[in-house]
Amino acid sequence: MTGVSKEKCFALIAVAALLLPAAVMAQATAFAVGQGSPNQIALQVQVQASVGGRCGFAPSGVPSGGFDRPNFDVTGFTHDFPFLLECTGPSRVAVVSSNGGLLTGGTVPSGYAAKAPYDVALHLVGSNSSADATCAVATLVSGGACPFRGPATTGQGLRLAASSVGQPGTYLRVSAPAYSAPEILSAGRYADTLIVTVSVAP
Amino acid sequence: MDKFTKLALAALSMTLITSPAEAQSVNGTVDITGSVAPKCLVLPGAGNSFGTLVALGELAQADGRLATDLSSRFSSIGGTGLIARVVCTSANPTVAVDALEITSATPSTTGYANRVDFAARVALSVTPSGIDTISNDSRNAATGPTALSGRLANNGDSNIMITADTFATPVATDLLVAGSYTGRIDIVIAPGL
Repeated sequence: MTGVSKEKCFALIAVAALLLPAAVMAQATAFAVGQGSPNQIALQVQVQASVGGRCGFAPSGVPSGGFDRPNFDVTGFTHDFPFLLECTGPSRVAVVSSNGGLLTGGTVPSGYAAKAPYDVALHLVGSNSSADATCAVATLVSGGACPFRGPATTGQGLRLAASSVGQPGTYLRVSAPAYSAPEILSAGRYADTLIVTVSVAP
Repeated sequence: MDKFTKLALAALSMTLITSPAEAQSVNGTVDITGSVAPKCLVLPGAGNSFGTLVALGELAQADGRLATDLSSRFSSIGGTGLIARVVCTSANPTVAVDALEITSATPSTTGYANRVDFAARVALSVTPSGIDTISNDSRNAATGPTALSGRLANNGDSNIMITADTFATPVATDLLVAGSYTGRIDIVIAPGL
């Protein structure tokens, strides 16, 4: 114990004891050579570790971009936004809609509509499994009932049970048939924004 | 660095490593846009035309002059063919009405007529309430296009009704020449701007 005072030795052991599991917390005293015995203490440090998962989007595969469909009320639409997960373990992906539908400005009287519905689907591909779910976009707003309504947390979102690191085939799909509700859509430009989030899912 | 200092630091660093990874949440954003064009459609079925044939039958009274019940006959014979349901995606659609006189190819002379004029009236239910009526006399050029005061009502019921009245020969005492007569009412509903 050359060069280490008794006080410093106690202090270091105390720090270690606070940080270590109970198994190594038995008190012990070590003395400097010539000042008592024992002169050293053997500590067994049990190390328990896990990799909780790095999880995100691959830099080259973040969900992004736009899709525009003129006259969508007549033609309907389907479009896929591919993206790449980079999760070393199970993950959850969730989606939030800014408007809960394709929304145009202004107000409309009874019998007309300024918001058009559509569906949002997630297809997640992992190393040895996949996950799928579809929700009406109206359920992707705050308080909505969609199981993958965002933001993603360890308990919220579509769960992919397998790791997925740059696995191709994952996408977010938006789709709608030709509009057929009794309310007539008002002429104009419509828009919505989807925010996609991913989280580890232990 | 002495052994115990190393040991303490090692214990500290091992504790940090063994902590579970924090939940991470990262974002991606996609935008969806689209448009709905200004247009009008006939419901049900999203068609683009409506109309019927109103066969008025005998136009003349027993004395040869124009019958006086043509207005009511027009409505009763036309029946449901004279009502329609049209909606437009634009806020203030326009309507043009053109009544084309009822005529016969048989020539006429003084004291006789081969032409019956009339007024066509198109009543349109609009939102939030009310009825806009666009009329046209067959003696005049087409009326409109005229912008409606609001959107065409879309409450599941018909919102257009066509009537005709004020049937008349050029001179009230004219006798109608025998023959086949045809006329027409053209109604054009457009989405406007």
